[in-house]
Amino acid sequence: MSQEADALWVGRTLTGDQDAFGELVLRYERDVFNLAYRMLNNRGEAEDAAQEAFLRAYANLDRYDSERPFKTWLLSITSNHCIDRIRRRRLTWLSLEEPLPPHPALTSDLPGPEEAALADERSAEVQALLDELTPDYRVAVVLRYWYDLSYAEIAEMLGTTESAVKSRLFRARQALAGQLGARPLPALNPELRGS
Amino acid sequence: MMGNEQSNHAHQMSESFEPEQAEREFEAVRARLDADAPPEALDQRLRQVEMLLRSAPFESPSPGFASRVMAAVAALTFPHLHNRRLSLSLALGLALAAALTLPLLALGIAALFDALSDPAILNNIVTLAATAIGSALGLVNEYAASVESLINEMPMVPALLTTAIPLAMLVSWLAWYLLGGPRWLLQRVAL
Repeated sequence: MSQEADALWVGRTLTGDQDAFGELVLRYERDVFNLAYRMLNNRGEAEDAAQEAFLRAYANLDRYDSERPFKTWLLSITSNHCIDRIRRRRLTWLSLEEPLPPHPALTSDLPGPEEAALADERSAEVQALLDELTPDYRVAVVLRYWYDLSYAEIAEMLGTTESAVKSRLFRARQALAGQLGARPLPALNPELRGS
Repeated sequence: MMGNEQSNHAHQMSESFEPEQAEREFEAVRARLDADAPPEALDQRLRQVEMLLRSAPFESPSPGFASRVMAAVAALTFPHLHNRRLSLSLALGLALAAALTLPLLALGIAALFDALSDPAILNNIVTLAATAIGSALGLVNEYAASVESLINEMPMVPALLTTAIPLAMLVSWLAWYLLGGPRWLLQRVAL
């Protein structure tokens, strides 16, 4: 039903009805933003990336294959854009004559521990772990755990094979387990310290 | 012995999350396992990772995000999405222009054939072309003669040129580098 509704909105958008695209934006803004935020770990940059993803989807809507779910097509555009952004970050030139940018932890807009709710705390813990992964591994983990996509869907979105996706997820979990071991236990939420 | 038990245990744990995982993947991970950590610790870490990932919340954008996206969309102009009527009008206009231009083009081509079929006009054209080619060849000859006389008078000129050109290139590159050339280039790439 949802896919049919998506096809309907896409069709109307292609006839020039911008409000129809607005319906798609409202439906998927959270999915697109969450993926961008989990990839980039910065709310402002994630909103920019999410907006750019929607604009790219709008600009290329005539190339969308209506046989595929609109959501996975949109998430595919978002993940590719976020990976591009992360790669571009590495190319940023740091001049010795200019002051260094502040450490990301100092500019993070995550709430402080006093006002953080349990969900925020958990989200920040997960984000800190995700940040240790390379973009290719991070995107596989986010698509698997937040969006519950199958290996085949992730492989299609990332332009790779199912076995490569399984391998990335396996290695990512091991790396995350290693990170958990390296972190002091008090930093973790008490209810997540094993059973 | 303890290490083997631990590795097998880790393998079982991983397989419970990814049943089809290839053996070679496990071999790669086995090498990374902490030999001193008891199997329970690894169990606990993998379970924590699973729990953290499965319980992590969805983040939402700030209020008004969809409106901002739609404002950005409205600022775009894509003829294939927005204005199919405009595309149709453009196509009709081009067809009309072509319909008007074709008779004029046909008249022009007919006039050209008329002119070329007249021997006097054809003769004039050929003479004019031959004169132009002759003048160009004369200019080239003149230039070659002046270069030859210069070399005869100053034999050091070729040697000076072969030294001065690479030297000038080296000095230019050095100046570009010192004035921040690589930085400028990297900034362009980063954009």
